[in-house]
Amino acid sequence: MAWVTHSLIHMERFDVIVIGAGHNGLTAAAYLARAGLSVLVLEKNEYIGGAAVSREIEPGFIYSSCSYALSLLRPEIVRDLELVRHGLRVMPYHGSVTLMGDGRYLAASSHSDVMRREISRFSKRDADAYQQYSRDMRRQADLVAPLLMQAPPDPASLSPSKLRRTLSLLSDAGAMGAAGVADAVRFWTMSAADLLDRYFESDVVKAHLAASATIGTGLGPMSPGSAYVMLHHRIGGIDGAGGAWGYVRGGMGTVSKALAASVHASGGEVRASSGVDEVKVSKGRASGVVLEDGTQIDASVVMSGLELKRSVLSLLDWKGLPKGFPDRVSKFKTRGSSAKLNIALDGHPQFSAVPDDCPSLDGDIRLCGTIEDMEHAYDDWKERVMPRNPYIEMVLPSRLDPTLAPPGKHVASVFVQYVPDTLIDGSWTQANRKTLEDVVLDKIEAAAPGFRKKVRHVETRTPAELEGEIGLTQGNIFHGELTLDQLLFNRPLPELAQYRTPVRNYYLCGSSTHPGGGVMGAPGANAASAVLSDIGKRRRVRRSA
Amino acid sequence: MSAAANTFDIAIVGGGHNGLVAAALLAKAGRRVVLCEALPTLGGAAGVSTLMPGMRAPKCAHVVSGFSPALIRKLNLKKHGLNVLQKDMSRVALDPGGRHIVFGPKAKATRENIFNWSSRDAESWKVFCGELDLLTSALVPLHRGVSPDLVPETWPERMAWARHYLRVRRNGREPFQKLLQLLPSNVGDFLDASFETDILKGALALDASLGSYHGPSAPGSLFYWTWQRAGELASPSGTLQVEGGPDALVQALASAARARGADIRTSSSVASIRIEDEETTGLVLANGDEIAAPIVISTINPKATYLNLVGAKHLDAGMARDVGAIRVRASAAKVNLALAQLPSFAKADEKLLAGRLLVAPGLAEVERASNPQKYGALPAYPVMEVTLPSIVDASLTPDGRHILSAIVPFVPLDVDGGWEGQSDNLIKRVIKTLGEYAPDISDLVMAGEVLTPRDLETHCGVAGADWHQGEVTFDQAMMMRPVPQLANGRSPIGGLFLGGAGAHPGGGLSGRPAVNAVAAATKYAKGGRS
Repeated sequence: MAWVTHSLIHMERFDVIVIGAGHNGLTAAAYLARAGLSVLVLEKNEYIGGAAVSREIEPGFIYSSCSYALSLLRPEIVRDLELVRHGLRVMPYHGSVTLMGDGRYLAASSHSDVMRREISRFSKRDADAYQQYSRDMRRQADLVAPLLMQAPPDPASLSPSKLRRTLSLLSDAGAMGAAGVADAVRFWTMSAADLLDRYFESDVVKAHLAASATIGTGLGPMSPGSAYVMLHHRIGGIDGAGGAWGYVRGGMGTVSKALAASVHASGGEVRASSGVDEVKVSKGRASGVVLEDGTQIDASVVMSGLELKRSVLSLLDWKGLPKGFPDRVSKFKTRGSSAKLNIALDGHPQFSAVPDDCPSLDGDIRLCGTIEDMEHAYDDWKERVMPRNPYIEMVLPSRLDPTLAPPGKHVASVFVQYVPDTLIDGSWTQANRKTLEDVVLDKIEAAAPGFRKKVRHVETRTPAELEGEIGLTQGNIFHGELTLDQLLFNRPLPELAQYRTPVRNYYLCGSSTHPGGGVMGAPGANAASAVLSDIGKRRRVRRSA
Repeated sequence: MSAAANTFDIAIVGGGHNGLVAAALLAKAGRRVVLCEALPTLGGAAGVSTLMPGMRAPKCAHVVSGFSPALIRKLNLKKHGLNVLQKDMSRVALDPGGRHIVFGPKAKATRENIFNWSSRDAESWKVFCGELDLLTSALVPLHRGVSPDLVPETWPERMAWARHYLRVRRNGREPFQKLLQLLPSNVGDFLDASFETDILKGALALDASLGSYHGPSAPGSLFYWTWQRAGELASPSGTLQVEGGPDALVQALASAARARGADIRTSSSVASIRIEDEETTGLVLANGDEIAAPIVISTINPKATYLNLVGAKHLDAGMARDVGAIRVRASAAKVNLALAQLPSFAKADEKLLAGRLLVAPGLAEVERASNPQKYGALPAYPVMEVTLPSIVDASLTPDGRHILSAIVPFVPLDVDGGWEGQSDNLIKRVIKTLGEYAPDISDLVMAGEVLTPRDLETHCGVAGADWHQGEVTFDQAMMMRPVPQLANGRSPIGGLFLGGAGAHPGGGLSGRPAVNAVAAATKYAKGGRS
């Protein structure tokens, strides 16, 4: 048959193929290209970036369609891949506002004196406690930080080097003393509500801090384990300011563009509109990919930046997999709990509780109510019903970044928490997507009267859209829940925690792997290290043979 | 009273079963022991309640789980009136239609029951039990002894950790990985991953949640469950039913202690623990009497012990904060009914009904029942563990009549708007729910009582109605129980030890916290400062 000959003649071959041009896939590709390997990144969408994208859906307005703020991207990666040279600019914001819905609000600030004064409005005792809380949180974040840019420890391994590593991590933890270790257990296992009860008395202060525990998780602020999600949001930083968050100039897509530029600069290639249908496996080894259009491309190494279930269940032929493995993969927890609204505004929203010039409005604006209110929203989610009173986190990045909207106009990125991936009476439809949109817009309207009149365009993305467009299974923004049974050496599964899979030369490099979700890049970087170390080994073996 | 009459080797605060175990053990060892109980009766959570003349119901605890047979022998409790009627009590997933699932000692019978619902689930049962046992058996040795130190500082302490590591790692790499993955996980996902039958998942989820604040979907719930199972397995005879209910165990313990000369006092409320130079010297009672004793074992909850009896001024700021933050809130209510005859549950004989009946139609229902307490409300559809102790224990009721005892979890200590009228609501909901299983039950009720969590606190001395005297979660278990500074017999006050459920290994009628406290106190008395 003629076409067979044709495709054989044109068969391309690379050292490494990376599936998915999300930020982790691009990070892995950039590291490997810099190491001198020929690298091809394949992206199914016509745009790159996955969940780190900037899209102009309404003319003149740039949406960060999915992720909307940056903190976790590892400074090592920014440096190694020269992302600043490739266009990355981060503008830190120095505050955030929590609106209780009853007229009370807390305008948070990263300046400790301002924050102290603000908290004192609610409780003098809490103002002192905040110092202690920040110190304790920082100490735990500092304990986690060195773990991020390496493969997780492997406590089940008896090999001397792995045991040494496990012991040295334990001794690092032990160096904090019993009180510090006790705090580590608390931060990793307690509920956000209980942990905050140890420090604070004011419901406003507690709600303000608990809000980040809800983001993207299938836990309520009163569920054990949710305190870790607060910690996860504080392990990053900007320009050395631990825990700080900021906007990326031009939207989150700039991160992906800078990463792609870094790939190109090292001779790698990124190809959009090239969905992968299957990973080719022969004799237990990955040997390339088959695209949706039937094109085959060969490679010595294949990496997947997709979520675990897609990487294994959709891309691999199950027949070649170990017994029970697909079943274990299918049990990986990826419940989605978030939706996103991107809104083009004809003017700046005016919050009845907060003056327009409050600098804290530069950061996230949390429409949250008390911890109990957030927990109620979680209870609704467990029943898979339409949220009645969801937690809303809105940012107005155009306040700091004039490239996002025409003068005087704004874009709002609205994150909605506790939205089920399927509703009790079926999957998402056009009609109930509209209902969700109204619930959210009404809640914002209540806090900022006149808001709806300023709305020019809305893009509503339920978990169904997050799954359909960018491949987040069940719409889970972290590629898998951030609970202890899916963190560190358990992420995504114990047998996959070292980025390698049962199929030789097939690696995972997405957020399903350690250290997990958020625009961090660490999974991609760590997976690249695993590839390089395996190739190095093989080369050494060949040389010695 | 003369000074000599109020001078003892050891003073014990609290006359629950742990206090009495400590008193009996120490008296047997020849110590002069005094025990002070604030309430007029002994027993704490293991007391008895008279519903109507001749009809007695267990006040809070309705079975004796995990009590060591060695302790029964050592204290000669049989001579003191303890009569074990039933060992290894089965759990039963109750089904309105009569397709009950009995989780008894015979795995084959259980599988056959499950097979009536789903052949797939019957097949999964063995794997499921294997995984559960993997967790439980890893925890049993930790349950039995003292726990290793949070931060080992000496080589023997490090070796203790190494031994625990090797013990569980010995079974191989994969089981060890499985253990690390499952331990922090939650019951709901674990059950969903294993089974499809609602009633099976519901019953197991309820069993897993009894005594816990959290519902089955909470991370850490699988640890809680397996920790309780480890507590039962740590004692070879499992769950017991004794003649006269758990109160009979209390009376036997009191009799054993008194026979050896222990001075057991009721209506004797302790106002404070006397402290000189950061060492305890005895107790001050509410009536002003003083008791001199160089060693004090407190079996009331750790928070009350250190904040009320010791006083924050003897604690450093960090410890005062940590003790104040101990969560005591896994509250449950108790409903007791006096019934004219045995209610007619479908296809259930007396043998089956003599077990622990788990009333929970499904996993979602258990989770749903756990929601309202967070907001100070009652569950609309309560789930519950029911026993009919009078089936095997004729001493509780006159001929033919029966006692039904229901533990209703997830009931908050205080409901919004107060308990007035709400306890009626609760008993109505309980009877209505039971009516779905035994339709004649509402006609058979001769008398009933609700012990709200507040009642259990006031009348049984169970603070927060939490029979663990503090939630059993990772941050309050083992080497962190009740707080790291007080774990393993440590105390900032020389001679003061915790011997109640709030100490390692926790609640249940095991007596183990008391045994640990007695060991630590004995070591202290011999001059080995803890």
